[in-house]
Amino acid sequence: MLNSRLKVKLGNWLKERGPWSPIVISSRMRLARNLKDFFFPHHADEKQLAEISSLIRDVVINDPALKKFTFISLEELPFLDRLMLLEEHLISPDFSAGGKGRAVVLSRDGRVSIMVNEEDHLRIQSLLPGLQLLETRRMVDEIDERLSLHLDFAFLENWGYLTACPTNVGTAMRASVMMHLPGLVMTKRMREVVDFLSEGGTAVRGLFGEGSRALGNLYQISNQVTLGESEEEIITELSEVCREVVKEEEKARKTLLREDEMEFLDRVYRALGTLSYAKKVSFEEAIELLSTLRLGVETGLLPPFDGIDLNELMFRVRPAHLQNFIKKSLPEEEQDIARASLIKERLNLQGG
Amino acid sequence: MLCDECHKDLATVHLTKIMDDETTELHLCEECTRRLAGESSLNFFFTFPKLLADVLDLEDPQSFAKLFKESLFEGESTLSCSTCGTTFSDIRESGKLGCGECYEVFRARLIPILEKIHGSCQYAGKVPRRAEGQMKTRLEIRTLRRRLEELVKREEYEKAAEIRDRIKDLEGKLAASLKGE
Ligand SMILES: [Zn+2]
Ligand SMILES: [Zn+2]
Repeated sequence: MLNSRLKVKLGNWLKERGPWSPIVISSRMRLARNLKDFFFPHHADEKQLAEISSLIRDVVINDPALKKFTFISLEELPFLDRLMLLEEHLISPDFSAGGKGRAVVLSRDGRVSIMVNEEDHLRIQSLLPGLQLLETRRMVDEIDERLSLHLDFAFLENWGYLTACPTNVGTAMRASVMMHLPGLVMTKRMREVVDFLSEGGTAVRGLFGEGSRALGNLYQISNQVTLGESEEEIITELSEVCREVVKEEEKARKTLLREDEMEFLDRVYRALGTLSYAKKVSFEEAIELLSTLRLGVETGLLPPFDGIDLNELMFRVRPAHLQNFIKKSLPEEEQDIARASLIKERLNLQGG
Repeated sequence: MLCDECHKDLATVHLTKIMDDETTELHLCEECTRRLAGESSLNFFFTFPKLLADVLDLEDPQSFAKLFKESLFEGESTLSCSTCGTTFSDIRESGKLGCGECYEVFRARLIPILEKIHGSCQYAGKVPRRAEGQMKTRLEIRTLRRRLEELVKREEYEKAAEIRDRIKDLEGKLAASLKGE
């Protein structure tokens, strides 16, 4: 999808496959950097924020090595576009609300974004399909190296890179892996896995939803540590842990098929039935049902849907993407109706 | 409030655990927190991240604010940063520091909390492009020492010897530059 105003190709990480797909959906790497001699964004006034933003804009515009990047002030970006970027995971929820001195720097391929004046002066982020933490790390590191030719980052010998919130100080690097884990949830083994993960210094949370409730069985697994370990060590450990989780998910899916195939079949076909006949589907319901459908296809209980990628559809049913797709903004109830028919159409379901 | 475990001492650690849609609150005294988190007080530091992981969202500064409030040393402080004016209670409120200087000003308060999260408070990441002089050398030595440890653990002694030589070189360089000052 090429959005005219953003001039950025969106959703590559959804359409493409990567290592350890489809259980691993995407890998994201985020580096926080702050300019030396400036207050952190929440403490800086409007004038300082504008100054920081223009310093960064000048670098992006003038460095030929960064010519594939576009600098967009958030104030120039309409709400729906900001929401699109949020749903693409290119900006954060807080950032999408806008604010003085805030800007986003986007690569044309939609794989790299830089948030300017979010919690830190710079949040450099890259996103790739599948488990590719090393590659995402290479991408953000390249930008970090480039930017540090022109900008002086706040750094202390014993603390490392300084960040507004002390939980990020040090490497200021957060690596996250998004995974689809319906098997572990259905076999009620998720809690055990969460315990295993937190012992390894990794944090787990649902991608959508609060607390341990993870809508659509989508989880985000991230490193907790930013001090005492190098970037490479952190990435190696996290990758290892994620491969373990994929193996556990595969085991859980086999268990489901072996031990209670009828129960499993019933769930999959109920999801198919609802999506075939429902007239209104909320985002929450859609993502749960599509997760089950996807599990059905991936375990071979259902034939694959012709020419449509369930991975992509799970993200396309979110409000901004839905409205962008049908090219108008709608009240919530009408969104639910549009969503129901979009799913039916895309999956080519025969229901009424 | 009394400790949920021993019902004797004052609870100073307050944990909220959300699991399977159920919210459990746990109020513990320091003693019981240590006991529950591990056998010895040493273990406490290593196992605490696991306890924390259930309650802590590292991407949310409010989580840090909460930790800052609950950190085992109690009492107010009049400490403030002379560069940006951020006070102790500002951090308790927002979970954020105001500027880079704050890291030095609030160092003693930050270290115990960050040690609990990371198990260490010593930076071990990349050497910045702009680092120079003695700091650069010291950071490089630190990185090499960690690599050396790793190689010895994996019994790759030949490579380890190489790294050891490089560390010696750098240490020599550092000593020379210190003398030159
Ligand atoms: Zn007690
Ligand atoms: Zn300060």
